[in-house]
Amino acid sequence: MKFTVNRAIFLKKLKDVQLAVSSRATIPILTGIKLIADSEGIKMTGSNSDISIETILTVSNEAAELTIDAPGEVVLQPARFFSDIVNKLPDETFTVEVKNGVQTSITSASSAFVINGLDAVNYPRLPEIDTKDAFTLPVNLLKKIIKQTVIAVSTHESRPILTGIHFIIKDGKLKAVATDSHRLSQRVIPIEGTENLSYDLVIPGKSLQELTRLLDDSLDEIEVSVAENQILFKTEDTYFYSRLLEGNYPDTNRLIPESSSTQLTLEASTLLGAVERASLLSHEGKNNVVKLTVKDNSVEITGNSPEVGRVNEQVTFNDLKGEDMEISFNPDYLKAALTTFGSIEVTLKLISTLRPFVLVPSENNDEFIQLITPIRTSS
Amino acid sequence: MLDTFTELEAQTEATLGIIKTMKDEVSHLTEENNVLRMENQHLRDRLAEIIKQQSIEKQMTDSGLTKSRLNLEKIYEDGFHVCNLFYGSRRDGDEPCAFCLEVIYGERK
Amino acid sequence: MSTKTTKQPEIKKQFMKLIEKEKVQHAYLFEGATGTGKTETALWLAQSLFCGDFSEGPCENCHICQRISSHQHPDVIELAAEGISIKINQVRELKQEMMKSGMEGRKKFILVKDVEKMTTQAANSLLKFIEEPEGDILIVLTTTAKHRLLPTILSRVQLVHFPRLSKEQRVLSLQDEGLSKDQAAVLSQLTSDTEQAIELSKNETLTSLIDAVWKWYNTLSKKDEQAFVYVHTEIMPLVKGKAEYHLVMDLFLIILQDILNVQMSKNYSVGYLKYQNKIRQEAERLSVGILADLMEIILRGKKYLDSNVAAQGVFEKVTIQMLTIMKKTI
Repeated sequence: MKFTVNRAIFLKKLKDVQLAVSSRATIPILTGIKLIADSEGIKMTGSNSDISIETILTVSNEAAELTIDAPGEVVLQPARFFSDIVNKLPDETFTVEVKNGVQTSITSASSAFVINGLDAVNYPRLPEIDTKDAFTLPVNLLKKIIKQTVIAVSTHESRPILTGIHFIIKDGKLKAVATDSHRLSQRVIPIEGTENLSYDLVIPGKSLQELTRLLDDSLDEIEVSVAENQILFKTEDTYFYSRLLEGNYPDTNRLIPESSSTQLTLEASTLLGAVERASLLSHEGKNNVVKLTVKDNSVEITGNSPEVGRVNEQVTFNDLKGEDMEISFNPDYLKAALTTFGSIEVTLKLISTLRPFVLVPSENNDEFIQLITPIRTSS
Repeated sequence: MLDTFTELEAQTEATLGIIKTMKDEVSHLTEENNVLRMENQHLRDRLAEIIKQQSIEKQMTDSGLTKSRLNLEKIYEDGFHVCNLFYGSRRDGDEPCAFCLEVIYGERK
Repeated sequence: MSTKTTKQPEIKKQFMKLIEKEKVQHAYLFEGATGTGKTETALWLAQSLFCGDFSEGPCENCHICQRISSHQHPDVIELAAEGISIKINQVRELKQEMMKSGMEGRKKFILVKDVEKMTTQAANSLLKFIEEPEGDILIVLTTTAKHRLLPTILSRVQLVHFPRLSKEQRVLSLQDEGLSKDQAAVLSQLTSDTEQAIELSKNETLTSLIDAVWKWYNTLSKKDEQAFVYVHTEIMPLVKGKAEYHLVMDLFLIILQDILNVQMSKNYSVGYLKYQNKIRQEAERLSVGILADLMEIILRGKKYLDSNVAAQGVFEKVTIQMLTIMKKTI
């Protein structure tokens, strides 16, 4: 294998691929980067077995200044070592050449390295994914959905399937749900061209967070394909694979209440500010609990930590309907939930002191739900 | 004078007939009265039973739950999961569980 | 085809039948002594599961089979004790792997070696996954001590017994491990435990000892009284400790047994391969009665060693006794 390429462009692509490489690998070869060159260009692969990222540089990419002198493949490890070398090379372009099996020379101007590579035949194979049933999503929307649902994934291993986000594609819609049993986040969006598709998958929350790190805001769309064991997110020159979680995700539709006794509509930022202030007190004290009281057409946020002190705040709202109500909850859950809405008007729907309450955008409220279970207090 | 007796006899016969009819009527009424009295008592007893039952049910609906759900609520308050997903395990740090709450309070269709 | 000899062809045949009928279960326990081929068969089973070119068995040549045998396949996970036990954090990592689908396909193969070394806590945490694994998983546990396993584990797996290898198989498998033909022959007579045999072969004085014991026999068989001095000059310097004193006796016994067995069956493959010609000559010369007497002397000598009688004294005593017997022969 022998190729020459523009260093800056190569490094940018290498950086993307390195997001997937972990120094703690299940098999040693995964600490490296796989390089393949053929007549059309070069492909780089990095993986920690859970996620794998591949990027392609083609000869037709003018900025890359890529010339392929001989096809071939090799794995260079550790990845950090290789990227440090390329980073420090003197010239604008550099050349990689593999001789004598896995001896790899990296040259740039008068600097020359020869490092021992590994045989690429031993690198894990990513599944061939049929893109016939692929569908596209707008990148910004996908990133938003992930950021809004990933806050609710479980961080415990007690029920491993809850560490993932449940993606259900049916009837032309994508529903993404995450819950750790204390709170739940759900988003529904329509997807064009998927009326005939039906998928039920669970994708590890960590993988999707890495995906958001990889995707540039400047990107428009991303193509999604599903295999039996992995999901592939594909842009023009970058492939992101993630393994799926095994098992059945519990039914969460039952958890979302259909009716409510009290509906409170207000600015998300207003409520967020009040809860943040109250949480200063609850964090100091032993119990991380904040109370919301709806009474006589007023709304109040209170906190009471014995030995620390008290806090209360009247909250301005836009609309209030229904019964008087008191409900206590973990303020961190509510803060996280409110943050995902941004600065819009939201409606809180409460049923009773003991039952979960939901937050939805006051307009278009079928597409986004945050649900929080309250805390029982003896008062 | 004989005419007067005949007339009196006829009158008396008529009166006897009326008395007889009235006697039958009274007898019938007395019987009916008895039956109604018994039925009335029976209905009163039944009503008392129903009221008692309703008041028990009213007690239950006051707290909103049947006995079995009350049981689950108690186990949940003691700090254990009652949902299918985590059944039996402790609720770490008494953290609330949406799945358990749905089992205890959710509507059954 | 692999250059190694296959250790348990019968067991592999049984698995082939199950594979053809698609009746392979999802959890097995391979139990048997060390060196009986449990790990080798488990990896073969993994190859059968993943090989792209499977016909009468895994091809063992494709990149899949090669990566499995070199322990580099991401979906073939091997767990072994680090130190004396398999701890709960190792099992935790394993469970994390098991909750995801495979990397290259849905299937996963898990091998847990010496599962009796799992702490009780670790074993209990693994139970549920053995009973109801999520996804397409094949688990193989191996053990040399079935009696030490929790009954809860035993009830959840299919048991496969790995019988001890025949002497010929053991000799061949020791040679596969790099031992010379002569070494393999003697050591497989000395112990049926392949791992123990390999350990012994690493003992540098062993080769010298094997030859020294032969020389001792030879001198005795020539009725040479030098044999007595010989104990002091050639044997004693090479040995220290009870285990090695017994080793001397056991090696001598192998010589006697070789002679006796050759008498009974001409084709017997002797332990002292290097000197088999002389052994055959001795077989012609010595009667069964003589051999029996010699063996008895050695066995009594071993008893003295057990009673902590000084080794040199024991060796000298048996030398005298054996000389007396030998002098009665032609």
